[in-house]
Amino acid sequence: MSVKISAIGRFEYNSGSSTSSLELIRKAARPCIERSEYSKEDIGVLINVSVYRDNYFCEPAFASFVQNDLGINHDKEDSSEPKTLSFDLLNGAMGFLNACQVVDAMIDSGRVKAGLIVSGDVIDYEMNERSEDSRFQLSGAAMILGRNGTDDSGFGMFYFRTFAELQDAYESYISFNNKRLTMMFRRSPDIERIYLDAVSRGLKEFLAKEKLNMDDFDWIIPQQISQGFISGLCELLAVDSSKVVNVAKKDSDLFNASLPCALAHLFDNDLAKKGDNALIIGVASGIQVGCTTYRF
Amino acid sequence: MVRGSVIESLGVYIPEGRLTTKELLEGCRNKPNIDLEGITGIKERPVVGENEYVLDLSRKAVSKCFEISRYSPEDMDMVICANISRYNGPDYKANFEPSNAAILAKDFDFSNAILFDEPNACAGMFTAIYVMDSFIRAGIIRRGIIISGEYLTCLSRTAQKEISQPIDPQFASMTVGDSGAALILDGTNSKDIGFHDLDVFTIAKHCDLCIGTWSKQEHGGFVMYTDSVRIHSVAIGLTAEHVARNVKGTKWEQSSNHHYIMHQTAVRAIETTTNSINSSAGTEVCSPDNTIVNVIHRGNSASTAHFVALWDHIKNRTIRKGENILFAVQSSGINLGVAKYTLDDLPERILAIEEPGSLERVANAS
Repeated sequence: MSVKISAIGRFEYNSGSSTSSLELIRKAARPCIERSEYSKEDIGVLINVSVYRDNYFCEPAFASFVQNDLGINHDKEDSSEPKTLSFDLLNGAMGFLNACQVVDAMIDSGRVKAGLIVSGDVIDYEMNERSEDSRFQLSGAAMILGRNGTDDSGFGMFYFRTFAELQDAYESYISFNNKRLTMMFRRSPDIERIYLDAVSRGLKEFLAKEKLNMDDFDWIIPQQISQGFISGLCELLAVDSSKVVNVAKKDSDLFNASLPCALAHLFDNDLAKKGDNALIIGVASGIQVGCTTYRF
Repeated sequence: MVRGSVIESLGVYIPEGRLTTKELLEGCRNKPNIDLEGITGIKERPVVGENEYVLDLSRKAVSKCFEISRYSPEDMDMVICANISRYNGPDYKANFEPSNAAILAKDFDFSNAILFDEPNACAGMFTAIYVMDSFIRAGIIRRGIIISGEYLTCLSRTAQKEISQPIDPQFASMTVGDSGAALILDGTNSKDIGFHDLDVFTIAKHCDLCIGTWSKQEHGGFVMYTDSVRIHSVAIGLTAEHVARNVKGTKWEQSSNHHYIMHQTAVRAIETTTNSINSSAGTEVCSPDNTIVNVIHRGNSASTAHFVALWDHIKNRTIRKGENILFAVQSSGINLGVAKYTLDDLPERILAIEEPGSLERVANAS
């Protein structure tokens, strides 16, 4: 049996006032937990994938603040009680897909019953100067994975590939200049084309390895970078755009919230039927491509 | 499906520079009136060289790890970077993207590996072991490498500028040292070697007892604010209870059966913890003979601390082939964990590379 999605929560921030990673995550995770068949005590692992978070905390893992805020086994001092391991998994916009595989492996190995993955990337402008825009759509996202049920729905094999020779096409960092921190985003002007080239190569390898072809899929769920990126992907894959989930904003990147937002779109609007197969395609700095399948 | 995992290789890099506790205190703008060396037992700590940063520490540890391993970088199915510090260039440059693991994929051939960063304070390398061991047990991967480069003395440099109180929240920043560590975790079917038991978990209600972030002062830099009294009190009590529960009824209950390696913060903290464990267990789990104290010349090297201690005590021949180790994990968060481990011939393979001919000399002498 595969590991499947129990619940998704998302929160899109549209206010002009400042927000925090913790607030974005809280507003996505609370309804996610309420909707899930798993209780808080069942959540054996909590993974935060937000690369950009409040105060740019290095220590402890931001996930421990989230665990405490959501009250998930946060006060279980007796080690015989239900426990949760919280940690950060950082890998650009690939974090959510990586974390899905980590929860899958931890459930498979019998270590946990269910896992919660959260993201809430923000640029903390109280701490640093504005530089080139992050282009993020401020969003909180949460997803609970588990193995309940007897059907064959759930994730298939995961595949990740890094095209290290393209690494310089995107980088972000903080540095300290003129007595202020500055967050820098350096992107190649051709970054979306570079992502598409990487997807083309990575996807070809994945399909060959898993002996799949594009006709096997009812849905394509790509990284929600921009409307332009998704149009480019439709052309590249020569697929009917109605099969491609597109919840991208015109110019802002859903980043780590891409996968949960796209999947929630299918679930919430009853678009995916039982037995439908989806191809999930992630792309991120590095340059990395990640692929998996999901059977509804 | 394999039974579990074993540390197939270990590589540690210790920078050549040293900073004594006396020098560190003398460099403070407001010299604190405390006996830091007396309280912590730390005499000196390694410090990075000029233009040496987190990724340099990581690369050197990875190179050493592959020198000892039978594997090559392209044999790795997974790469996890577990460092807390992200200090990677002049002007306090700290990289966010790509991840450190993705950057290292360019230096080593990790292109086909599952890779990501997984910082979890000083429990980072053990959390990575727990995650990677799950992948190995589930049959998803065969093996992988866990890497951490900790450039931490930048915290000490900020503390030298900012410490102003007799009991200052930055005192813990004066205990840290720099290092790099990398280990290869490989699947094994043997029940005699590797990790017999492994757990890590988070008691997040104590998440605010140690915070690492950026200084908001004009000079910039990285800072760590620690409520040292509370974090030690909480962590020691919880560790004692958790370790005692884990060893009860096993051979690990007796100090003569294993080496005990816990997180290396200060000599007195290690002594207090071992006494508390014995008191909780009602047996001598830890003794002066089996407890590894490595903090005196290495400082607290955060996520690498257990493995720097293992490396040093393999090299000084305290820890040998086939012996048992009881690891106790403690970190901010608060994370706790215990791992029961039996070594294969890794000590001999490390010595064969680090000190060629030494094992033959020992054998001949005996």
